[in-house]
Amino acid sequence: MMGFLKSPDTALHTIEILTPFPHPFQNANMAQLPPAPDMHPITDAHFVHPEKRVLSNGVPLYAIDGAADDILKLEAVFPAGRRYETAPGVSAAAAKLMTEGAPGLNGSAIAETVERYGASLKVRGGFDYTTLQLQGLNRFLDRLLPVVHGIVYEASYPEKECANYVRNNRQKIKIREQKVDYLADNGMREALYGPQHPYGYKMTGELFSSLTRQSFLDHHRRTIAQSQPFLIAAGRITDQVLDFAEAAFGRAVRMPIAATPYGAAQPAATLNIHQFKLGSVQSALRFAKPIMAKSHEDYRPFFVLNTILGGYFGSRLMSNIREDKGYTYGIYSGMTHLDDASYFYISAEVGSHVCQPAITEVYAEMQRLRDIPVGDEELDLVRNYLLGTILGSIDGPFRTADTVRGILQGHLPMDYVQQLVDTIRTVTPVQLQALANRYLRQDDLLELVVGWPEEATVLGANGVGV
Amino acid sequence: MISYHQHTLTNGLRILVHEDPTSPMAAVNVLYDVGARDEEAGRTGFAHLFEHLMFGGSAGVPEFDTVLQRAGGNNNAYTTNDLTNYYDVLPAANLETAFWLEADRMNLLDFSERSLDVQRKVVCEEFKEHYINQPYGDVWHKLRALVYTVHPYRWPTIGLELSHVEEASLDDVRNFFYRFYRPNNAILAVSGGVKTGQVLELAQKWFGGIEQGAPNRRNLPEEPFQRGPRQLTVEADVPVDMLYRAWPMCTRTHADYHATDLLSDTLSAGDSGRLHRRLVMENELFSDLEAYVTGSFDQGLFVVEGKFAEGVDRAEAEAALDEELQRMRREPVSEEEVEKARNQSEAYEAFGNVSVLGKAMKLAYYELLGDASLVNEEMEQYRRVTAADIQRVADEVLQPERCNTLHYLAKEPVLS
Repeated sequence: MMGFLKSPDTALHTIEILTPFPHPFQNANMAQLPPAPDMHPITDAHFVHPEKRVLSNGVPLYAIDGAADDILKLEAVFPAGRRYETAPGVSAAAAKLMTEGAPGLNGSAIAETVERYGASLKVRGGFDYTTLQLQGLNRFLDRLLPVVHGIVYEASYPEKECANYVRNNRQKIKIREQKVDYLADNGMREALYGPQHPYGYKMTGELFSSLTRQSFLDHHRRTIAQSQPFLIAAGRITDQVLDFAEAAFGRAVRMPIAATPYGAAQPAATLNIHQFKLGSVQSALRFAKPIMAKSHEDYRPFFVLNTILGGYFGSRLMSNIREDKGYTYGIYSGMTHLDDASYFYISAEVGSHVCQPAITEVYAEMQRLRDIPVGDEELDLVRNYLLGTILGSIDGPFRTADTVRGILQGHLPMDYVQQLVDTIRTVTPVQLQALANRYLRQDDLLELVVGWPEEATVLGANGVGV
Repeated sequence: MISYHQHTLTNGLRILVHEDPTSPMAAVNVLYDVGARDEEAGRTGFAHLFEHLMFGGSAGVPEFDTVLQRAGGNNNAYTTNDLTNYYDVLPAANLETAFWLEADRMNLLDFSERSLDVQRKVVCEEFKEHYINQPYGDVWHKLRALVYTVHPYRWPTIGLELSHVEEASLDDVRNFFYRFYRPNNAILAVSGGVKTGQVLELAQKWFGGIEQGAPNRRNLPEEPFQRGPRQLTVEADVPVDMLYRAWPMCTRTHADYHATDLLSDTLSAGDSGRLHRRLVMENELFSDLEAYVTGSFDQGLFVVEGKFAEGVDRAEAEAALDEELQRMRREPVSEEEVEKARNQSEAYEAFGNVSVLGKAMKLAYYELLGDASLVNEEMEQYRRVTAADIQRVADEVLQPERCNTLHYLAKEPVLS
């Protein structure tokens, strides 16, 4: 009987017996399949360390060779993100506009050259780093050198393109500010670090309007043009690739650079922030708190604990709040690690009508991890799942490059992958419970809701408008 | 270039294998030849809801995800208007686990009221998250309904309205399963650190006994030839005025598909496409503007979408856009532009052939399209496109009298 398959929660299933359809397990079409196959536990993940080279000026290059085709993905990671800027919004704009001009090349010519040779060239500004990513076919690398060299040393930031950037981003932000997930993500960082902190400020239309071409130029010359990046090259690594890296990044003098001084984080005074947004059929939920750096001894076992709570599809949060209750399309927990701070978060968009029950279930799942040791069966599953994930994260040159970038940005040793494998294999339920009691507490966790139905106020939710 | 081996079981299941001995992983991709175009007009969104139910357990496997995760794997699935695709990626040592899981649910899904009840709610939340609680979230609902009058492409995969998903019954689920989820309606592609002989043996062992269903022949209404432009204006609580233009274009397997795709690339691939350079960067009439093709199996769409720049005169901006588009009909594109589009396609192809999952997905997709060998022929089809071809298809597609225009406007006038 159908009810036998899962937990005998059969009140609903009995209805099926009345339907005219043949009972599925007596269906003539059904084949008898063989018994379940044996499963092989994953015990190791063999991570081939990238080959480290050093360019003439001391810039490190990590090479990951192994593509069937003659292709390359090259990343240059500069300390040039928000922590290094002198006014809010400058680093991201300076990154994005780098490809809009260099001596003898306007934005049109740069885009034309790059794309004509089947390549793509993108510069992205982040909290700590600005990353230049070049992707393309090796045989055209020499054609791309003048462009890359030009924008790295002498990006020109044409007045017109700068004004265009400001105008278009003022418009884009108006659209983003309609989205509860965007408001919640930004609200969360502001509540953790304060509106003056490089990790905490939110971009606004006004901030975009205050940006100037001169600020982009100054930022670029102070950081990208002369700071010390690290390079990661993945694909088919030939002499062409090494010559290109040397010519583009290896000749000029490059120095370490210090972050622009900024004050300590100024977390919000309250841990409960409920922001009303009328007409939201869904509300964005965020829970967050500062957490240990990746180099801390608790990090690796906490990584396993986070996976159990909300780090994969089979997690406690997903099983309960999506697969059991249907409150959401997805709920996840995770950690963001930055150079100067790290935080833990839980994130979901839930139906506004089930906002409060969803919050209650999130706290209940955290409490369950504090009160009851994780069972062996679940822990075994998570161990295997994570080891499989690690195996996937070092499969092929491009996935490996992403893993190497994470190691370098986290200031971790190259044998970190092996350390993580060892922790995943050996962490115990007792350790995980102790970590849950130390880190997964309700009393120091920020709770932020954007959306929220009007009736919630009637029901006496503890929310206050902010 | 993707080398592969092809085989068909007696029950009609088509199998494709690609060996990549450098990978410790295996990708198992199962594609079912069913999409939102196979739904009834009063029960839209069902193919996608069904995709969710495929994870609710089957005769021998109560929890699909739990078993796969225990084997070190992960998975996902997606539904389009044309097809439904499921994939598992796991350590190659546990390849057989994926066979067990996929065969078990193809053999007999657990039709449970509880799973249906939960997944109806999850899909309703997905509907809200992506299509209601987002500015412009319903734009494809509007655009499809404008362009398609009889073909089921007139609704998006999520469905026309929440009520269709809410009203889905267990009978619908069973009927759908026995009609579409049979081996003769599926393609299995495996790639990674596997051996062809091993995969074929496993395929016979796990899928060989599953009975085939009745042949599933499609008889979809053909969209009548559009005569005369159509226009729709929507006013909503959005911050910026948007423009959508859509023209009917050929099917995915038509000989003109590649030229039409390169036409859209010439207009807008990357940052050097004509529309971005001229109308966003130079004339500053739009803040964002792109052209693309939907690549639909039946009659597709050539789409131009853009956001008007702050404070511009919309008529002036649209006239400038029209001029760029009509120029594609009058003048051949330059040799440099054709070369660019070709090199871009080559790079796209090479980068797409790196991951084991990408290769398995491509093999299954091309087999559904007609023949897996297309996976290695498509590049050549792009290479053969000439400037004259692009001008010819531009002339055919970009006719003002076949244009569908959607203005999605801010209720309050946008302040400049």
